[in-house]
This record gives sequence, C-alpha cells and structure tokens, in this order.
Amino acid sequence: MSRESLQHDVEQFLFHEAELIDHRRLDEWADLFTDDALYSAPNAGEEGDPLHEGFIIYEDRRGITERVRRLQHPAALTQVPPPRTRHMIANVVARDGDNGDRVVTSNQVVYFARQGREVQYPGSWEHVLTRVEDQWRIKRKKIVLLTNDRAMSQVPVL
Amino acid sequence: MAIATRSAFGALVNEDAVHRRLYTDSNIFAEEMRRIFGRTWVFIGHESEVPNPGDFKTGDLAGQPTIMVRHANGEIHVLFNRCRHRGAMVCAHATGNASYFQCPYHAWVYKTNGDLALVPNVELFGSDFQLADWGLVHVPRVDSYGGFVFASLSPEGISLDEHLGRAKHYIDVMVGRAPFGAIQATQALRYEYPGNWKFQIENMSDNYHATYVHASAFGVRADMGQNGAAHVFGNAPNNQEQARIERSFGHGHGVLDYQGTRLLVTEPDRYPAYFAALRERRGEARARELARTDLHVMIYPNLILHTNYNHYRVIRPLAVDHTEINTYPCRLVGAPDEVNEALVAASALHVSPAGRVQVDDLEAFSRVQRGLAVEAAEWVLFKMRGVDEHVNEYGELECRFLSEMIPRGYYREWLRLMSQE
Repeated sequence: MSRESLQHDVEQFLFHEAELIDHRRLDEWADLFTDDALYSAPNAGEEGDPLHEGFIIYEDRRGITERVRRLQHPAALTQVPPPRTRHMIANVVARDGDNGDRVVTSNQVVYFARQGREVQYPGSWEHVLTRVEDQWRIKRKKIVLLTNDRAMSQVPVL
Repeated sequence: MAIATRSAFGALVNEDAVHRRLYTDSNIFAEEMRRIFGRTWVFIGHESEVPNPGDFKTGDLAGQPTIMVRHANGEIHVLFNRCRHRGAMVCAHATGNASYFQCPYHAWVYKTNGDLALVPNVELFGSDFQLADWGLVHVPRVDSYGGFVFASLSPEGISLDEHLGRAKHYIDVMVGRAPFGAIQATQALRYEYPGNWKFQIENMSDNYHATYVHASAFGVRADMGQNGAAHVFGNAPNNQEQARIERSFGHGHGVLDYQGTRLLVTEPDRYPAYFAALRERRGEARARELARTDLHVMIYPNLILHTNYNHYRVIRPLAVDHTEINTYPCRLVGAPDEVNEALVAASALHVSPAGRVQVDDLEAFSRVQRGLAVEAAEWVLFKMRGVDEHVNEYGELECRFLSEMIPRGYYREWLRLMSQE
C-alpha cells in the first residue's frame, strides 16, 4: 500500500469509528477492539502509568463491552435521553508500529449535547491499529483530554 | 434575609427531615462556609500527596485559598495562599514542588514554612519593617491522623483527636489494609455537579438508592457474571443485606459496613501475594479481617473514605448549587502492582466522570437540586428507621441496613455548628 493510500485508509478508519459512536452503534464500535485491547484516558498528565496516576477510563475488551451494555441499559439515568455527540477529527498522523501495526495520532474534539447543555471535549487521541483478517482493529486507544486538569461531569464515549 | 439565631436554624431541621432551603438558599450556604467550613476540622489533604520536601498542593478552606506544603525539615504546613503585600496568590499550580514561593506581582519570596525571606527594595519599607512580621499566614490549627491532614480556621475548639473520635479506628483500618501500613494517594479524579454539597455526603451513607440509581451498572454486572473485571461492583444476593451495619457517631460522622457482602478487590483468595504480605505483618486472623473490610466512612463535613476501592473523596462546596468532588485512588503500599492497578481501575470505573456509577448519582443530584425549587413541598425526608437500632460498645448508634440514621446524625451536627455564633 502506498503512503498516500495508507494515510487515507487510517483516516477512513477513524471516521468510521467516530460514526459508529456518534450514531450509537456501540456494539459495532466495541467489535472494533481486539480481544487484548486497552482503552484508557489518564485523568492528569499524559503518561498514564496506572501505579502513579489516575484514569477516567482504564479498561480491557471486557470492560468496553460492559461500558456499551450499560450505556444501552434502559435504567442508565445519564443515557435517557441519550447525549448527542459529534467527533471532529484533524491532524491525523500515522507511523509504523511493531509487527506491522500502525500508530495513529489525531486531534479530536467531541461535541456533547444533552437536554439543552453543550460541552466540548478536545484532546489528543492515539490509536494502535493492527490488521486482523484484512481489517483494521484497535489494539490500544489512549485519549489525553486538554481538559483533564479540571472537574468534569458526564464524559461521553470518546 | 438574615438568619442569625438558633431558633431560625432550628426551625429548618427536624429530627427526621430538613427544610429545602438548606440546599437552595445562598444565604444559608454563606453561613455554612462561616459556621461549618470556617470553624470545624476540615480535611485538607493526605501526607502522601506531598511526599518530598517542597511538595505542595493548593486548595481552599471555606473558599479561602490555601497551600499544603512539606517543608525542608519534613513538617507539613497549611498556609494561606495570599501574599502579605498586596494579596496575590503566591502559588497558582494545583500541585508541584517548590523550594520557595515567589509572589508574581512584586517578587516577595517566602520559604516553604511560610517565612518571608526576601523583599525587593526592602530598604524603602522603613527601618521598622521586619521580614519576620510578614510571613505567609498559617491556618490557625493543623493536625493529622494516619496521614490525613485536617485544618480549622478557628483558633480554639476541640482537638482533632476529639473531633475524629471513633473515626480514628476506621482510618486505622484503611491504612492497615496496606502490607506496609501506609497508603499512597495518586492523582485525583475530579468531577462536579450542579447541586448542593450535602448531596454527596448523604449519598455515600445511603444504600437505599443504589438498587435504583445504579440499576444499569448492577444489571450489566449481573448479566455478565462475576468473573473478569470483577473489581467493579459485587452482586451480593439481597438476602445478605441484613448482615450490613450502619453506624452514626461523634461529630456527625458515620459508617456503612458492608460486612464482606460485596465483591472485594482485595479478596484474600484473589491476590495470594497481597494476602501473604499482609498476613506476615498482621497474622492470619487480623489480615483476613483487614483484607475483607468494606466500609464507607463519612467524616463530617468533607471527607469520605472508601476502603474497598481504596480511595478518599473530598467535597469542595463552590456555591449553594455547585459542588466539586476530588477522589484520590490510593495504592496500598507493599501490595503487588497488580492489586494497585486493580484498585486504580476500580476507581476509574466507579467514580470517574467517564465511569458507570457515580455519573448516575450526579444526574440524580442535579434532578434533586432542580426539584427542590418547588416551594409548595418544603421538607426533605430522612425518616427511614433502621432495624435493631441501639448504642454499641463503642458508643456508636448502630442499626442494620437500610436506614436514614446516618444523615440524621449529619443534621444534628449541622444544627449544632450552625447554632454557634
């Protein structure tokens, strides 16, 4: 694959992932992750060492499934009505990772709207993508929010 | 509207109900800052947040900016974050390390014990100007127990020892669950909600709501079984709830004791290496008891300990209808990394603004705040009676789940504090 087409390919993957989240096709979103995936967001700083820092998100594939099922649960107070979100994606940079993986960094802003309230979540996204059966899958996803030094209340799927 | 008399506050607090104005009246909030947060022992921070000389953490006490800092000699000081010259905050960082604090405005320099060390053009301040007279002001009283540092804006009053009373025992338990007898705070998870500060401390002593507010977190957990990420919520069968105990004691404090009926991160069988390390220092029986302890400890007015996920939460009232919570997941010092990683993950799932549990509480709090705007219904109820309420051997009022006994204790203390001029 040429450099240009590879860039196009990973960008299309990020757009697809964002569309699944924003249209609440969350089961399909969870299926994008590999079985050994780690989905994380450090709550202060950028390193994300679980022994020294806290996390607002720190979960494995099972945790991602659990997150999705809870969001779809009819008794989830914060999801009835559900928030509406839109991911804006820019500055996508892809580089080679280990064993043919691609490390993709991007700047994203998630617009969150619910019951007349609007919040933005801007930050740096890092995906480690791996090829499984000729499809990109997410092995690692780490989000460092610019706002992770302040109090937040209801963070949507990032 | 002025409220200054005991009878005025007394009319707002009954034995088992409080008036809606406690949550909606900004004048009452201002009085709470003066009479509660401006007087009693208020939690400031844990010593492990500032482990090394020069480490500091800024915060506030009754709305007044403070710095908790470890001086070169290891002592911890709690200082007002206010230059003695024109009043600028001398430190604008949330946390960090400093060998001194320099005011950004006219560059006055203070040592980490608050002493004024340097004033530019000091010769122009007159011959009677003494650096020794103009150090950062110390918060009148500071004391600690088990590494938990408290401060009081009142120069007089009961000691921290007396204020904590039986709460010291529960602090001992939280710290004692670490093989090396110490906890290490990590960076705080921070969240906020558009509601009154008292909702959070009421909520932590309330096991009545959990079945309903957390139906989604519980329900998914039950569907997925108890393996895997079992460090979230236990699914103890309801018939075990009768084993759970509530206690109310001292100056508004309280405890929910789950008596090992929820899944525990530190379950002795899950992490044999952790349990072995604890057993080595504590002996089999005590180690088992400590590892299986599951408490919510409410230390009135602003500190909550959660021994299962091993974090402490600090309530920061910002306005009558705006509150910030800082939750500090703690490592158990001497426990294997996998245990500490599981504890951090458990807190992320439970109390993070991107988690599954606390977010639903926040939603409930915001709805309560809006509902309490209704003037036609004046009272907020705490009428639920616990089963077998009695005074135990430690002088604590004790009963079995479920009840609203602990918040009744909060409001007795609220009224006591608010009634003092």
